[in-house]
Amino acid sequence: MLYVYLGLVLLLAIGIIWNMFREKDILKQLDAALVLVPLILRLLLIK
Amino acid sequence: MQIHTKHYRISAAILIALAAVVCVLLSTQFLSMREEEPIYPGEGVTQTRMLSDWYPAIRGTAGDTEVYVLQGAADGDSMLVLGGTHPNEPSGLLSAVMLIENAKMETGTLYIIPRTNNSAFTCTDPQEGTPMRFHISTPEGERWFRFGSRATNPIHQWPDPEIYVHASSGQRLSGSETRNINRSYPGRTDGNFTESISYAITQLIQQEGVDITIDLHEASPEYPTINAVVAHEDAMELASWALLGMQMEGMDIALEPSPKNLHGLTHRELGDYTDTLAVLMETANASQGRLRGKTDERLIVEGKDKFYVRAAQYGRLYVPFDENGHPLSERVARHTTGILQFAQAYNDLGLGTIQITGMPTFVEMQTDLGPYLIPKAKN
Repeated sequence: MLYVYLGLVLLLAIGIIWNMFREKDILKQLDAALVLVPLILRLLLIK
Repeated sequence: MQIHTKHYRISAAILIALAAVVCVLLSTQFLSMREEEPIYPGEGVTQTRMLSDWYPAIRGTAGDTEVYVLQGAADGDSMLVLGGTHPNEPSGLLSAVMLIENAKMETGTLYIIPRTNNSAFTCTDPQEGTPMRFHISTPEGERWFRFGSRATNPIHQWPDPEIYVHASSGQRLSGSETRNINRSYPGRTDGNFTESISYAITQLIQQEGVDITIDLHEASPEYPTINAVVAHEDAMELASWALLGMQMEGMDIALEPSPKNLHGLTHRELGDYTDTLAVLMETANASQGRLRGKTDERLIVEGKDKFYVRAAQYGRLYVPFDENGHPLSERVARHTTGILQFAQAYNDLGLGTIQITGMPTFVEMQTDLGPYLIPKAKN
C-alpha cells in the first residue's frame, strides 16, 4: 500500500509541475510551488 | 488578483528551483531529528543489546532500538523499564537515561529501553509547534535530547487506515492510533510496523521472563489520569505497596486500575499475555496540554505556564499547578523514585529480589538533574 500511495504522490507532483508550465498567472504558479514542497518531502520519505 | 506574464515557462522553472532549494533547507532540519542523543552507559550496564535480538524481523528498521542490560552480581528477578514510549513525554526518556547512567544492580537484572518507539523520536507532531530538542545543563556542559512525536513517524508506516482495529480484541479506534505503540500491544508478527515493535517487546518479556514491567509516561494537567500509577489487576498488590513507599518519600500519587475494556496498552496487554507484573506511571507535562502557551524548550524543561496557573485557579485541572509549575527534574524524580519503590515493594512482599543501587534520592533529583547527567567519554 505504501508504494501505491507514493505512486499517487508522484503522479500528483508530475501533474502540478506540468500545469505550472502551462499556467500564465504567476500567483497560481507560486501556489503550486508551495504545494510541491510537502509532496517532494513525502516522496523522498524525509517528512 | 492575477499577474500574467508571457515568460510563464521561465517563471515556472524559477519557482520549481526555489521549491527545490526550500526542500533542501527543510530536509536538513527534518533529517537532524534522526541523529540520536548521546547516552553514556554507567558502570552498572553489563550489556548493550538491540531489541531485534528478541525479534530479528525488526533488525535494520527504525523500530530497532537499544536495550541496556544491568545484571547484578547475584541472581535475582528482573525488571523492564520502558522510556520513550511517547517521545513527546520527555520524563520517560530522561528517567531511563538516569538509570542507564547511574544505576547499579546488586541482585537481579534491569532491562532499560530508553527509546521504546525509536521511530517516533525522528519527527515531531504536526501543528503542535514543539521544538525538536531540549537541553539540560550539567556541571560539565549541556546535554541535548530530542522532543519527538506521540506516534510512529508516518514515513515509517503509511498510510493510516480510517479505523484502527486492535487485532487481539477487536477494539476500534481512530486510524491515527495505528501508530501509537501504546495501543498496539501485545503486537503481532503479521501486523503493521508499530505492532512489530510491540511484539518484539512482548518477546523480550516472555523470553527473559521479566517479572515487572514499568512503562513511563506523561499527561497534560487537565487529563484525569495524572500523577498516578495504572496497574494491571495482577500487579495491584505490588503497586499498592510501592505507592506507600512513594508517598513516604513525599510524592503525592494515586493508583488506578487498568481498565479491562481499553486495549493495546502495556498495563492491560502485557499483564494479560505475559507473566510480567505490568504497571504504567504518569507525571504532569504542561507541554502536552491544550491550554498551554508558547511551546518552547523552557516550557518542556521548567514546566511553568501562566495559563495553567489560571486554569488551576478555576479548578479545571487534576493536579495542583502554581507559578513553580512541574519542572522536568520533578517529573524525572517521580518516575525514578517510583521505579526504586517498585523494586523495594517486590522485595518486601516476598515476591523475589531486585536490588537497585547508585541512584540519587527524590529530593536530590528534584532539585537538579545536571549532576547525574554529566557527559562522559563513550565506552
